This record gives sequence, structure tokens and C-alpha cells, in this order.
Amino acid sequence: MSEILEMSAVHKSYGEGTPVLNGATFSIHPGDRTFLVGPSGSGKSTILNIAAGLVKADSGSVKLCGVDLSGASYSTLLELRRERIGYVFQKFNLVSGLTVEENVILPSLLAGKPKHEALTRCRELLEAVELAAKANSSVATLSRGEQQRVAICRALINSPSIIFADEPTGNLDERNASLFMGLLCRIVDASGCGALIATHNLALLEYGNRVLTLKAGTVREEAC
Amino acid sequence: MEVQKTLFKLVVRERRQIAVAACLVATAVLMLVVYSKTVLGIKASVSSAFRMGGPEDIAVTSQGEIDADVIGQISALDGVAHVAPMGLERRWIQSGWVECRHVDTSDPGIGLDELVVEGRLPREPFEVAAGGDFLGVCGLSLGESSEAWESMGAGSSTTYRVVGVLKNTMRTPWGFIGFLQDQPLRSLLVFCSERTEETIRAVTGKIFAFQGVTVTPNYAREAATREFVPLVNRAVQVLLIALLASTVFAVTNSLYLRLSSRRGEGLVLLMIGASKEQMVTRYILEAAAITVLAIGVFVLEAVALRSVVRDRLVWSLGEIALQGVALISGAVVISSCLAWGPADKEL
Repeated sequence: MSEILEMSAVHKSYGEGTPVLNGATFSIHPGDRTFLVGPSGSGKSTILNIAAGLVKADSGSVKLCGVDLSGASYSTLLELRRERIGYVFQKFNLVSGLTVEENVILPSLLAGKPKHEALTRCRELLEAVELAAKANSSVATLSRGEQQRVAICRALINSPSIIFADEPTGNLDERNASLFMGLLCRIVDASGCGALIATHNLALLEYGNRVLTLKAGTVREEAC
Repeated sequence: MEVQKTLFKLVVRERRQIAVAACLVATAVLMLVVYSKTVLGIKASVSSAFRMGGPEDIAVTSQGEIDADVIGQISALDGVAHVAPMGLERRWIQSGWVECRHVDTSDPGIGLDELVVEGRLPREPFEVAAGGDFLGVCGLSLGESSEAWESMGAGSSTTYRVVGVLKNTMRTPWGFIGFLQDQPLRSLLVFCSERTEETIRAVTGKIFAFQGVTVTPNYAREAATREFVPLVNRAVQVLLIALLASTVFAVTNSLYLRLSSRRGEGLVLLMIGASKEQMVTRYILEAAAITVLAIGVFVLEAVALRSVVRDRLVWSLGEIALQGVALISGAVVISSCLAWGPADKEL
């Protein structure tokens, strides 16, 4: 099975300090629900940012959907962000002035897709997360759990190849965290995309089928 | 088109911020106008006047009694500015600008009764007398209260003097009368009090031709205002400084939050697929919205100030506040326009 994401011997330091990543190597395949665990400051977000093409590695190879990110142009990275990557943030980062529906379709519109297509896909996603009735509500009126469900819909609107989630349950209570992870798993399984989920909450690992541990800048796969 | 509509919704969402920004921009523009009409004009006239070579360059007014109504009109035209001409201690200088016509340059002793004065503000053009051709009339009052100056407008008056009549004025694109910096000025009619006259003499060591003109003296009022108004001015200035400091703090704080918020939002938009061009479009839309609103607010402010703030004390205090707001608004607008930069750079 071909890899969606392939990181090989990636090094990354900030300034003159201790390296955050020291030869990190791993890959993500379609259908992987991969958890990346490690203590705060261990470099989980750095890995996500490098994998998403937001930060460049000092050395090593990063390939996303077959594209070598180290030599990718701005337009190539833009296309990857639009078409191949879905990103879920810890703080949801929904655009507060827009409705649920407008938030979800925004990546599609930014990618230049017809609005009617985006709306059709949006309604499917909102129904899947049981938020269809709130499509026209302002996101500011939603609970945290609902906001994160909107965020996952936004991440999926362009049918990405991989979803990056950085502490997606960090702002949710236990119940909503469980609901969100169950939902994410179902969506990943249904769509066949891969997911790389950074977390320090070990209770969530039951939702994954792979676990990567980040320690001293290196990545080690744990038995699941 | 759809994405632009959506991005514009983000702009509209920030309508309160845009409204505030528009008010600040309009105020800044208004401040510039006020500033150019007062401070710049005064600086030019004062420095030019002090550079004058001597009485031979000056058409001296004849002695005579200035009609209280005329002074009232001139006084009503006054703007207020604070400058420090020729190294003087920072003091209040009040100046009135009116347009005059028909000066007889062959006659150095032009009297006020020979002037034709056209007031541009606030009323219809009025006529003082026929025969003059003065292009500018300036009132100077160094270190004196606006109340004392205003007393002339009330008709009760005090002793003021026609200091000199200067020439070579010009009209600027702003619509006020400026002065050619490199040439001696001869057709500016300067009014000032004895006290100001003494100050000028003390500082410059010379004075251009003086002819005293008495306008129904009211020394009691002048003395009272000299003692009272500076105290009030000082108190109000302290309050204003406190107010401005609070405003600066509040605006700086909100600016920080705004930038943080926009930087975060910009980063999110870029991460979900917005391009640089789409982000720039958004900020262009915002700038356009600010501009349109600012023009409207500017017109309203200008009309309101012109019709309501006739009192020069209020006007001068307003000017201080406006100058502070102008500085702040500049920072807000420039920072807003550049806010997307950090987010983009991060990518």
C-alpha cells in the first residue's frame, strides 16, 4: 500500500537549542488512524507542521502524497493544503463571523470549487455529524463539542488524503472527546484517508490502529 | 466570486472595528486640515514676520479704531494652535484668517477703514470698508487666554494693536492663506495685544512698525481672564493628557488583540487553503470599506465642528485630542493593513 506521508530521518531545531526532531522516521498509509503521543514540548506539533508543509525540516525527507515537500513551490504547497490536507485544531479555529455551513464550505470556495458542489458535500458531512439542523447557525452559538464537529467537517470538505489533528480533544470534556474521536474514526474508515492525531491523552489511544511515540526527537512505533 | 463574497462577510463581520477605524481615519484627516490651517499657517507667518528686514518692507496701518463687529468677525474665524515660534516658550497662539482685497500698495499707511475683508468662515462674506487689498489678516496672542482674545468678539474688547501689514500671501490647495517663505511678507495685517508686542520685542530685539489701535479697552476683563483661564486651561490639559493616556492604553490593547486575532485567523485561512492573493483581496476590501466610511464620517465631523465648536477654548482642546487620536489612528490603520504579513511569513 502506498504511503500518504513518508518522513525519513527528519531533523529540526529552533535556533541554537536542543534539536526537537532528531532523525524522525515514519509513514502513514490510507486507513491509518495514527496517534502521535509524547509529553508537551516533545515535538508533536512540529511533526504535524512539517508534515503539512507549514514548517521546513532542517534535513531529511518528507513526502506528502508523493510530493517532496523540501523542494515544493509555493503553489504546490498551496494545492496540497487545499486538496490533500485536512487540519483540525485544538481550539477549533472556526471563523466566528460565518455560519456553520459557510465555515465548512470555505476551503472548497478557496479552492475554487462551485458553491453548489461544496454545499452538497457540506450537507452530507453535517448530517454525518448530526449538525444539519444547525447549518445556518452562527458557530459562536455552538457548544465546544459541536464546534469541533464543524471543524472536522471543514477538514473533510475537500476529501483530503490525510487529516492532521493537533490535540483535537484538548478543549473538550471527556464525553465530547469520546464522541469526537468515535466520529473521526468512522469518517476516516469511510473515506479511506489517513489520520495523524497528536495527543498527550493516552485514553484516546483505543480509537487508533497505530501509535507512534515521540521521544528525544525520534519516533518509535508502539504495539497497538 | 463566491469566495470573495465569503471573504467580504469576514470584512463585514468586523464592521465595528471598521467603523472605529473609519472614525479614526476621518478624524486624522480632519486634524490634518485643522493643523494645516492653524499651526502651519501661524508658523509661516510668525517666522516670516520675524525675518523681515524692517519698516521699509512693511505697509504700516494707520491708527484708528477697529470696529468691534469687524474684530468679532475676525475673531470668529480664529483657529487655535500651539507652536513655539523663534524659541519662545510653548504658548498659545490664536490666529484668524480672512481674505482681504484691494490693497493700495502705494500707500504705506493703509487704514482699516480702507480694507475690504471677505470672511470665509463662518458667515457670508462681509465688507469692512472699501479700498484695501490685503490678502491676509492675522491675530497673534502670545501667552494669553483665548478668553481675552475672544473678548474682542464680544465687543467688550481690550487693547490690541495692529502690528504690521505684510504682503506676498498665497492661497494653498487647502484653501487657507499661506505665505511665501522666501520673500518678505507685507500684506499680512497682524493684531496683537501690548503684552504680546512686548514679548515679541523682548525676543526679537526689534519690532516691525507698530501703530497702536485701541478697541474700547476693557482691562478688567482682560486681567480676570489672564488669571483665571490659564488655570482652567492647565486643569483641562491635565485631564486631557490623562484621557489621552487612557485612550492610548485602550487602543494599544485592542490593537494588540486585533492583531493577534487577525494573525491567528489569517494563519487558519492560509492553512485551510487561502492563497496570498485571496488574503490580499480581503484586506483590500476592508481598506475600501474603511475609506468609504471614513469619507462619510469626515464630512459629518467637519460639519459638526464647524457649526458647534465655535468657542476657541473648546476648539483648542479638541485639537489636542484630535492630534492624539490622529497619531493613534495612523498606527491602527497601518498595522491593520500589515496584519496579514506575519501570518503569511509563518508559512
